[in-house]
Amino acid sequence: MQQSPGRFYYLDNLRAFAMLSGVLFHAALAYSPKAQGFWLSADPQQHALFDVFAWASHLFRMPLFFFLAGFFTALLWQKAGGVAFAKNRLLRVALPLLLFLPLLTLAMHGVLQFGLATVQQPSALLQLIKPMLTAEAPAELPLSTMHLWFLYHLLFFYVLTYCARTLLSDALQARLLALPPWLLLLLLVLLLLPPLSLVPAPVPAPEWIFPALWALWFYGLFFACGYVVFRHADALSRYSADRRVLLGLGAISYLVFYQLLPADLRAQQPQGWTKLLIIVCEASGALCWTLAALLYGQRYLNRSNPVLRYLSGVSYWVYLVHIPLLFLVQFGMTDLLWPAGVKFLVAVLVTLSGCLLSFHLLVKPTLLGKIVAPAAARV
Amino acid sequence: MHTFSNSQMIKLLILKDWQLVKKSLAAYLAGGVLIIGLMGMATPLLFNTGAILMITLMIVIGARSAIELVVNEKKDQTLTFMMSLPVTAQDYAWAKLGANLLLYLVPWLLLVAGMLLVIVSSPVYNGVIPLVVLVSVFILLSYCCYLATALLTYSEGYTTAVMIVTNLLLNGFIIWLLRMPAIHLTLEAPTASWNSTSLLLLAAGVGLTVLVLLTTAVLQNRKTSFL
Repeated sequence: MQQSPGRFYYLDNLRAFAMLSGVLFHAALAYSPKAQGFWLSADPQQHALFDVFAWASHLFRMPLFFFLAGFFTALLWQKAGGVAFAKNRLLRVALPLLLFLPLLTLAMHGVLQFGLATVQQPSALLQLIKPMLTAEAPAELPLSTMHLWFLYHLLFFYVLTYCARTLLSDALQARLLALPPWLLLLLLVLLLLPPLSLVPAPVPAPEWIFPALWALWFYGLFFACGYVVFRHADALSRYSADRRVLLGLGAISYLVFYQLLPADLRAQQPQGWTKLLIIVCEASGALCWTLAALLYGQRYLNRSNPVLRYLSGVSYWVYLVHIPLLFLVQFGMTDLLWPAGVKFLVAVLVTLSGCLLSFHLLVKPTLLGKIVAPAAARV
Repeated sequence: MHTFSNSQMIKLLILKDWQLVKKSLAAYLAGGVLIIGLMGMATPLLFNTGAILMITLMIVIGARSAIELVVNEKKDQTLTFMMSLPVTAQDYAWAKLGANLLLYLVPWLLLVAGMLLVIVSSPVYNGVIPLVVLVSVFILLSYCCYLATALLTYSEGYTTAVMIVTNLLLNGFIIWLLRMPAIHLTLEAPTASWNSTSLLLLAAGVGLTVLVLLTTAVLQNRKTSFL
C-alpha cells in the first residue's frame, strides 16, 4: 500500500539532526586517539570519549542519510514524475556538487596552507603532506570529492533507481516484505557483510573521485530500504514495538565492535574470525541503530516547530561548507593547551556560527537559497 | 538530398525502438555503474577486470541493439506490419539509423567518459588516454559497420559475420597499436601524448565512421522498397 505524499516531519527533522551531527563527528575526530594517524586537524589533546562518540555516530549516521535519501527519492518520483525528479535532482544535488567541489577544494588548499604555516605541533597527516605542498614543484594531491562524496554517490543511486524501476517488478518488494520481520533483518545484515569485508573498519569515506563498489553496495542497501519503506508504510511500522530491542542490539553490537577496533586505526586491521566478528557487529549496529533512529524519530520528532524547521532549512548549507571552516578553527587551536573538551566545544560553536552567519549573508537572500535551502527561503 | 516526408512518424518509430530496448539499456546502465564501481576499488586486478568488462559492455550494447532493433524486426514479421503504416521506406530507414545511433552513442559516450575519468583521477598513467580513445573509436567504427550491414541487408548471417570479423580485428588493432613506438613509448607518460601518429589514427577512425554512416544513409535513401 502506498502512502499519499504529505509532510514527513520526523524525516525532515532526522535529516537535519544527521547533517548537524556530521559537524560534531568531524569535530570530534580531531580529539579522537584512534583517528590521530589519519585526521588532518588531529590535536595533541585527546580523550577516548571522543572515540566512543565519533564511531558510534559514524555507525549509523550515513546509513540513515541514505535511507532518508531513498525514501525522498520514492516520494519525489511518485509526486512529480521521472522528468521533474531528474530536473529537481540536477538542481539540488548535481549543481551544488559541481559548484562547491572546486570552491571547497580551493578553500581546503588555503586552510591547509594556513595549517602548515601556523601549527607548531602538526598532525601525522599534516606532516606527511607538508613536503608535498611546500616543495618548489608541489605534488598534485589525488582528486577527491571530500565530504561531498555523499552527493556524488546519490547521483549514481538515482541512475540505479531508474534502472531498478525499469527492470524490477513491485512483486520482488512484496516478496521480501512477506518475510518475517526478524528474518528480513537477518537477511539485510548478511547482505551488508560482503561490502564491509572489502574495507577497513570503521568504513572509510569513499571520497575518491570514483564511486567504489563497496559503497554502492553498502549504502545502496540502505537507500533501497528507504525507497521500499515509502512505498510500503507498514515495512517500518511493524518494527515499532521492537524499537527498544533494536536500540539495545545496536548498543551491544557497537560495544563489541568498539572493543575490537585497533587502538590506532592506521594500524594493521584484525584478520580472520576477528574481522568477521567486527563486520557482523558493524552491519548489525548500523542496521539496528538506523531503524531505531527512524522509529524513535517517528515517535518523538514527528512535529513541526520553528527551531526544527530552521535547523532543517540550514542543514544542507552547513553540511556543504563546514569542513574548511572547522579545520581552520581547529588549526588555530592546535597549539593551545586547552582541554580537548573545551577545544571541541569552541570548534563546534565557532563553525556552526560561521555556517549560520554565512547562510544569512550569502544564501538566504540570494539565488543560492533557492538551490540549497528552498524551504528556509520560504520561511 | 532526402527530405523527411513524415517527421512525426519517424519520431514515433524512434520512440517505439526506445520503448523496445528500454529494459536492455537500463540493464547496461546498471552494469556500467557496477563496472565503474569495480574500477573504483582501485586495485590493479579489479581495475583491469573493470576495463575489460567495460570494453565488453560497449561491444555487447552495439551487437544487441543492431540485432534487436533491425534484424529481428524482419525475423519477427514486425517489418511487414511496418509496411502497412503510412511511412515510406526512406522514413523507416532514417528512423532506424537515428534510433540505433542515438541508443548506442549515448551509452558509448558515457562509458568512454567514465573510463577517461578513471584514468585522469587514478594513479593510472594518463599516457594511456590516446590508446583508450583509439580503441573506443574502433569499437564505434565496428558498431557502425555491423549496423550498416544490418540496415542494408536485414540479414542475421551477414550481420553476425561482420560482428565476428570486427571483434577479431579489435584484438589485432590493439596489438598493432601497442607495437607502434609512437603509441607504446608514451603509455607511461604522465600526460596524454597526442603525437602525429595517434592523431592520424584518430582522424582515420572518425573519418571512416562518418564515411560508413554516410554511405549507409545514401544507400538507404536509394531504397525503393522496405525489403
